[in-house]
Amino acid sequence: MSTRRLSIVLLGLGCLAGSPTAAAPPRDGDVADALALAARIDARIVARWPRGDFRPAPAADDAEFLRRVWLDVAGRIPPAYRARDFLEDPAPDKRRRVVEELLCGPDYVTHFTNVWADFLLAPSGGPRVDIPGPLHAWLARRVRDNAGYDRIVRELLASPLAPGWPAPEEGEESSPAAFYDAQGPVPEKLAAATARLFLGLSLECAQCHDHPFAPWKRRQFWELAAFFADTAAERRGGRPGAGENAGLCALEIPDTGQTVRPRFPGGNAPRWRPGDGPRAVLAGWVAAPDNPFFARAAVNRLWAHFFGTELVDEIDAAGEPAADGLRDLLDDLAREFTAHGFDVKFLIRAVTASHTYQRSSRLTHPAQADPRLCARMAVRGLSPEQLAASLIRAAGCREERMPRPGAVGRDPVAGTPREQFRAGLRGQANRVDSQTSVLQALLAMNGALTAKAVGLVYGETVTGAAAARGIDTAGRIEQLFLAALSRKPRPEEVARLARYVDAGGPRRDVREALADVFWALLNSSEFMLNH
Amino acid sequence: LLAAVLVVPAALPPAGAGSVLRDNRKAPDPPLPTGARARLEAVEPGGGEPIFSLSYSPDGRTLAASGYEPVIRLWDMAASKERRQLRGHAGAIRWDHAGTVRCVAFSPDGRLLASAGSDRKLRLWDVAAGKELWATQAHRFGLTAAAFSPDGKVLATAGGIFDPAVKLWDVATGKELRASSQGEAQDGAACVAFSPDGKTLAYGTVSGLLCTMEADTGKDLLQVSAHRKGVNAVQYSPDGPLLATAGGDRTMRLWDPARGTEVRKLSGHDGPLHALAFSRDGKILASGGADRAVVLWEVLTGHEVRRLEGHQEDVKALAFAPDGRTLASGGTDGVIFLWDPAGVARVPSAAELEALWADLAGADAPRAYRAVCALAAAPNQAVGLLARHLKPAPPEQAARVARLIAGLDSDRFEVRKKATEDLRKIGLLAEPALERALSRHPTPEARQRMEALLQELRRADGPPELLRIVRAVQVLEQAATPEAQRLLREWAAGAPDERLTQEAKEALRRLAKASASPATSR
Repeated sequence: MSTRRLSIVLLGLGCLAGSPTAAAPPRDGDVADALALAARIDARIVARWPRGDFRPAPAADDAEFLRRVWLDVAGRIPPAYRARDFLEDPAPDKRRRVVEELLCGPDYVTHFTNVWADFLLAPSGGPRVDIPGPLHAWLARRVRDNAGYDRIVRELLASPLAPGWPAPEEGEESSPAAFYDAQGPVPEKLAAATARLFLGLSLECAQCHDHPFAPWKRRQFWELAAFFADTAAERRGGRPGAGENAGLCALEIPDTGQTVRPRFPGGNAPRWRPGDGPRAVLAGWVAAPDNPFFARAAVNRLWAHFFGTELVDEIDAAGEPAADGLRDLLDDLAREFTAHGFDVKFLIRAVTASHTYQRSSRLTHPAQADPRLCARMAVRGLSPEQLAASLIRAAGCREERMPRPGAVGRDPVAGTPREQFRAGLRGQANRVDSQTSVLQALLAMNGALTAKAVGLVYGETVTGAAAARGIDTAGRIEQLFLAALSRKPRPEEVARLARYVDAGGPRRDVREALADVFWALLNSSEFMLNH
Repeated sequence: LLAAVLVVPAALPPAGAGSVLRDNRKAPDPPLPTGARARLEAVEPGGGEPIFSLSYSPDGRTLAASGYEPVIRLWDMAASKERRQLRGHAGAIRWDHAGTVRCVAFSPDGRLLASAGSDRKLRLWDVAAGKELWATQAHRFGLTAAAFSPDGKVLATAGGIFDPAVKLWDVATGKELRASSQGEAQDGAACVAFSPDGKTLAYGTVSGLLCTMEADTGKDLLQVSAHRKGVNAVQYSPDGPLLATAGGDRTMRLWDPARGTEVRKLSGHDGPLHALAFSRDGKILASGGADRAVVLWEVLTGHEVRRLEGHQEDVKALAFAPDGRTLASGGTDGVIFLWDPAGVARVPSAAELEALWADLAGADAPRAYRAVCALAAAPNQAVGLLARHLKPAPPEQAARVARLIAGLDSDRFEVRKKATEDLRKIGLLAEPALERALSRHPTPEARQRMEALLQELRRADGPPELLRIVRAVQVLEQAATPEAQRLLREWAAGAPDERLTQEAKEALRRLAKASASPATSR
């Protein structure tokens, strides 16, 4: 576990949040563009719906929307008081306002740093990996400053790699070099990762043979790999700026005796200028506004963040019939994303403002089950960080107060409850797919953190709800619902639970009974899922 | 140069004032840096070895210093010369300098001195007799810190990087009372401090954690990831509402010790920090580190107010004299400087007074600090000025704040929204009332709401009225004349939940405590 990642999380963004976030309010033009894009998202989605006996899921109510948008943008559920305020706020534009508040807040920086780090580090479908401190610091700063996605990728691909470079930022080591370590700093792996992550292209099989159905030739793969020919040597401690004679970079295709020079996947040869590093030249091409793949791959990825599945499976698979309308939508999103300086917040504004995003997850018609129709919101499992942060918030835990079992070593936060919780989930698939992972649920059922969350010692939610003056049993139950589920209880829920609480449960103790109720709420699928 | 040497207040060495003690050296004395009153430098034997720790006796007459050599030097502040050496620490531990004395600490009554050495020994000394009372092998490896409990009955020690335990010792017998419970589980403790009420022990670890434990039971209370590198110094503010840590990550941080939340981050040093010290009134924090500078910070705003430069190497130790009029710093250059933290040489004219009053409310913290010091140096004029401008808090405002806080938990959204907005405008002036409401069993939701608001208010710069109130009280407390105390009593009689009332009460409490202790014997 990286020191910095958790220390940032634990401090409630001690550093980053302490300093004023660089989150400037959006320009009016940007907001208007985002709303217009939201309308086009809806129009393109609706146009693909089947005729005849079909209806989409209804719009999500305020509570459903609020919980979803907090989890997606801020990575955790809202505090109870924010939930109540939102539910009772009569302002018509409150959904848009809450997105704006979240985009300016510290939780967004924490969450999207994790999102991008998992994206960069996890081998496709592979297990979660820890985020090294300097990489986390580097990403967190970029997210905090709302750097354009193109700038992030350009810096990542062009960064000096020798140990000790680049220079520390704000007194802290900050470097994307760990990306290269995670991928394995050999040319073919870096080429495959670059293609997959930033261009949405699966070139891996072209490593050994020409692609069976896409126009990628083996030679093209190795020409891309040639940009990374000197990377390993540089990472090992070569001087920064190794490979200055980028034009001379060359790589041999294994077992062929054939030597290739760096060439962009589209077939163009780079124009080398003196002093250009090969990776910097590649970075310039990858993150260019006119690269047909770059923006598409990014918005495809971000779409998956908000809807659970990507818009299209293959960025370059032209003429995939089922995805026709979706491909137009992808192009539209990519165009706008590029036109707005690859501003991730712009895209978030547009997506979250769409009716498509604001649809309920309740299945009200069998045809809604096809995720490609986007006729209802997909139900998604929570990432380990989302689940841990939400649990801690719901229970009103002060995690720093919790005792810390186990050895610690040099990592200042290993062994804190959140770290243990994460450790239990490590090694799982990085992207959490539509079902809640069973392991997550099990861990929550048995985990020490959850036990403490409902315990009367550590959680302020239960103790506070039990001790609060001036509210009745229904009020206490409402406190628990707002804290755990970000909604008020329905009348029938209040009636049933109030009877249980007033009777004191099996132990004839109101506090214990409230703890039982809270325990049940935390273990409900309504808490465990992003719906 | 001459002026620097001549600016010597009555408090400091009457004879040979400001003289530099370099008896046996032939080289001419180097000039005193700006803001320094004196330089103390041991010459024989082993002079010039790094200083690691400084401690003032409670009466302010003696400054104990220790460092790289196995000797504790007691400096006579009246004569500005070395009075006695305590020898005992020694050692042949190969991986550390033999006999380094990492920490010295006077007991609260000033009769005893504790020292912690890299020879693994904790030693207790009778200061008057100059003899060792007991010594014990306290930790497996060299000690890094020792601190007396406020009642003087218990000593706490930190075992450094290789020994995770923090231990408590009975001063009377030298026997171990208890160790921090986590034992092996925890990384090395680098520094320790008792809370002013003696109930809590705070310690910082080499990997950056800030921990607190119950002193009587050893029960863990709090554990926060405080710095990105080691926590090198920890200190409670004199009344205990804040905990300050200085870290290897070039920052200092202020914490709410009850909740473990960060109140402020102070950055401005260009290197790891080694030492920090609160002024007696808790309004000023001094810090020192590898960038050789001693920096004074205003606790209220977190802004740097003054920078004292003179050390040639790392600043390793800081101590405010009990009367608050001198700040001692020690460095690896082997030099101890005695600084005048105020740096005021002149009484303000009548015309200047009004300008100073305006400065007190300003966002420019260094300027405000100069105004505080200038006013405190001219107590008669200051009391007149402040009495004219600042009246005891009327009860109406308190009633309004109470109404607004009740409004935070209203059933009606509009009322809650308005109450939040209004309290935001009142700012930290509402802090005492919010704290009190938090202690009265609010609903969990109201608690979240109030804590979020408090955190927001504490992070923001205070409103001008707040700055003025805190700094005006600071002036009177620093002046401490009978007239100043009379005005403080007037303010303390204002409406109870008001900031001015509370600040004045706390200042009076501190002044009373100081006059009860031997510190004010002069």
